[in-house]
Amino acid sequence: MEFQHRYFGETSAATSATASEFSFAPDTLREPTFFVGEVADHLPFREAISALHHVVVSDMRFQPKDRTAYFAWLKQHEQQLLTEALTHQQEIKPRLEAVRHELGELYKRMNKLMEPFYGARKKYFDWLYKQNRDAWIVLDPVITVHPDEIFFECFSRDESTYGRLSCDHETFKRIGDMSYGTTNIDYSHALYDEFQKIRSYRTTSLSIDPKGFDVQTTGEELYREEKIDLPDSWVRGFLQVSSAMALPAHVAELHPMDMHAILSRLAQRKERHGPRSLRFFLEPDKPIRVLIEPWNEMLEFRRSIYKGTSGGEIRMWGRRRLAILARALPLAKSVRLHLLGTGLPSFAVVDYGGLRFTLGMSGWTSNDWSRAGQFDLLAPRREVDEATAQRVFDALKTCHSSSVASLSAATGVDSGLAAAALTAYTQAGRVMYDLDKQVFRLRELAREPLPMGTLRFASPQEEKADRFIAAKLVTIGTVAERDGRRVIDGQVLDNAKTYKPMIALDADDRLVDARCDCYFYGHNKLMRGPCEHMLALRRLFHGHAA
Amino acid sequence: MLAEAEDAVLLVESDWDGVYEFAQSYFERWPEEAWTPEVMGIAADSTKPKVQAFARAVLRRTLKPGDASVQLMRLLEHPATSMHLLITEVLTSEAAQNSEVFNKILPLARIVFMQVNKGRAAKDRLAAFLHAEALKTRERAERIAPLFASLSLSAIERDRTRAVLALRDIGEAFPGLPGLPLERIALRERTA
Repeated sequence: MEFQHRYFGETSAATSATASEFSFAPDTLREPTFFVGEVADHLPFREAISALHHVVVSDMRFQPKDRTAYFAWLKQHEQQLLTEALTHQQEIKPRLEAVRHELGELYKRMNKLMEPFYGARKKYFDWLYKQNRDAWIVLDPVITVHPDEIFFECFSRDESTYGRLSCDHETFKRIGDMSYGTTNIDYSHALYDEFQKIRSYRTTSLSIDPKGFDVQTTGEELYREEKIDLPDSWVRGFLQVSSAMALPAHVAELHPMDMHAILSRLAQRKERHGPRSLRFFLEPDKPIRVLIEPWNEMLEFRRSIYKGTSGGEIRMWGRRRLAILARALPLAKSVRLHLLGTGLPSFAVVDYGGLRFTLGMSGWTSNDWSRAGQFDLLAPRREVDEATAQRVFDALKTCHSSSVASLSAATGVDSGLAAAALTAYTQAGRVMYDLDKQVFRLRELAREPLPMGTLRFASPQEEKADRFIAAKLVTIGTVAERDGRRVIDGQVLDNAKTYKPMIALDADDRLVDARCDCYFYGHNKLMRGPCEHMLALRRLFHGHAA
Repeated sequence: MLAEAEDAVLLVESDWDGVYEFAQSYFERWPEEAWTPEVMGIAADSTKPKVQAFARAVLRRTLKPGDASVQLMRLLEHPATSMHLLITEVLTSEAAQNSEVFNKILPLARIVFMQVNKGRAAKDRLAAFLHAEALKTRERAERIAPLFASLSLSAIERDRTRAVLALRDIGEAFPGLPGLPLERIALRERTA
C-alpha cells in the first residue's frame, strides 16, 4: 500500500544555550493541522518522547547470525583442511608445514598491505549505517491535535509494538496557533539526539509548522514529496491495535517500581528455553502477582492492589518489549496495565500527570497482530447501515472526541448501534479509542480512506465465513440465556460435512467463549481467533437479531 | 572567540573530524574563566560520547568547590549515564545546601536508581549521599523518604536493603514522620 506525503521544508531541531526548538514539518497534502506551544514539564516530556522513539525503531524480529565471514574463511582453507585430512604420510607433513608457513607469511603481508583499505571500508560502512538510520523508520509518526490534547502515535517496524504519547494542553505554556486534525510528520533519527538536550533551563518550543499550508502556490521547490510503500500487514497491525484498545480488559494499577522489578528480573537472566511468558495473577482486593517463566520466579507487588471486580490469570508473551518502558518509568506517577487476556494484546499506560505514554503490544512479537492475534475478530460486528454510521461519524467530527453515550444522545442513535459504528470506523483507521479518557477520538490514519477491500479479510477463515453465509449453508440451532450471556449453537455445512459450532456472546455482543468440532478449533482453540464456522454462525445470528 | 564563547563552543558538535580536533585542541587552551556554566553546559549537553568525555575532562580540571552548585544546576538534568557518575563525584553537602540544587537531585535520583542493570557506582554513591542528607533536617527527611519508600520495592536486593536501612534511620531520627512504610516492631520478650 503506497502512502504519499508532501512536506514543506524539513523537520528541524536546534538547541542553543537558552532554547530548544522543535519544528515538525507536517504533510501539506492533508487538511491543515498545526500547533505551536512551549513545553512546561521538560523532563517528563523528554523521557516520554524518548520512549516513543524507542517504539519507532523497535525491531525484535529474529535476526539470523551473519556467517558470511566464516564461509569465506572456510572456502579459503578448504583445500588445506582437505589435504590435512587425507594425508597420512609422514614425509609430506614437513613439506606441508613449510608451505603453510609460507602461505601464512604471505597472508600477513597481504593483510598489512590491505590494512588501510579495510580500515577505510569499515569507516565507510559505519558512515553509511549512520547516514541511513532513517531507513529504519517505516512510517512517520502520526500526530493529532485535538481541543483537549495533542498526541503522537507510531507503530514499530516489526508490526508488534504500538506507542502513543498524549499531552494535555495544560502541559504546554503559551499555546499559539492551532488547527485541529491529524497529520503525518517528517521524522528523522537526528531528532532523538536533540530530544536528549531538553532541559528545564532551556525554553523548549514544539511546533507543527503552519507555514507549509499558506504558501501553496509559490516556492514549489521547497516542497519535498515522499512515497512510502507499506506492507498490508503493517497497516492491518496498526488498525488492529486501535480496535483492541476499545475491547474490555483487566486493568491493573502498578507502582512504577513494580514494573522496574519485572524489567530488572528479565534483564538479569536470559531464557534459553520456553515457556517465555509472564503470568499475571489478578484477584480482587489482593496484591497483584507476576510469575516469570521459565524460572517460575514469583513477584508479589504488595503495594499494588488489584481493584478489578473479576480476577483471572493472564499470560503475556513478547515480554522483552516491555524494556521500552525503562526510559519512561523513573518520573512516572503510576503504570496502568490493560490486559485483554492470554495471548491477546496488552497495553501499559505510563502516567506522568497530564502526559501519558501508552505502549501497546500484540499477543506475540513474531506472530504479528494480523497473523496470530486476530483479536479484532472478537470485537462487536453488528451490521450498521451506512446512513446511521455516517451520522455518528459526523457528530464525532464536530466535537473531535466523545464518549459513546454522548454521541448516542446527540444523534439519537441507540448506544449499542453507535458503539458498533464507531468500532467499524476504528477498524478502518478513521477513529481511535483513548484508553485514558475512555472516549473515541477522530483520527484519520491516512489522507485517503484505506482500501478496506484488501485489508478487510485478515484471514482465510473470515473469507470462508463470508462464503458460507452467501451460500446459505449456516443454520442457527438453539439460543439460550445463561449468566447474562447468550449461548448460540448451530450447524454449518462445509464441504459436505456438518460442523456444530457454539458461541457465547455477552451483553455487549462480544464473543466471550466459543467451541467447534472442526480441525482449526481443535488445533488452535481461540488462540488464532474463531474458526470460519463460528464466524459464520455469529454473523448469521446478528443478521437475524437485526 | 572568547567574546562569544557560547556560540564558539558549538564547534565541538561538528560532524567533521578535522573541525572537532581543531576545536578540542583550541578549547583546551582556553583560560579557566572562559568556562562559565553556560559555556560548559553546551559542551556537556552534547549527545556525542567523545564530546561528553571532553566536557568531563574540562570540568574536572576547572571546577572549583565554590562553583559546584552552579554547575550542578545544569548537570543534574543530564540523561547520560556517564554524566551521572560525574555528578556523584562533584555532589557535596555544601552544594546541596542550595534548595534549587536539592530540588533537582530528587528526580535525578529516580532516573539513576531506575536504570536497569546500569550505573551501580552512581546508584551506591547517590544512595549514601541521600541517606546522610535525610538525617540532617526534618524537612529534607520528609522530601527524601518517599524516594526510599519507592526504592524499598526494588527487586534488587542491594538497593532494597539500603532503602530499608535508610528508612529505619530516618524513622529513628525523626519520629512521627508521615508516610513511612516502615513500622518498628519491638522484639518479643522471651523468658527462659
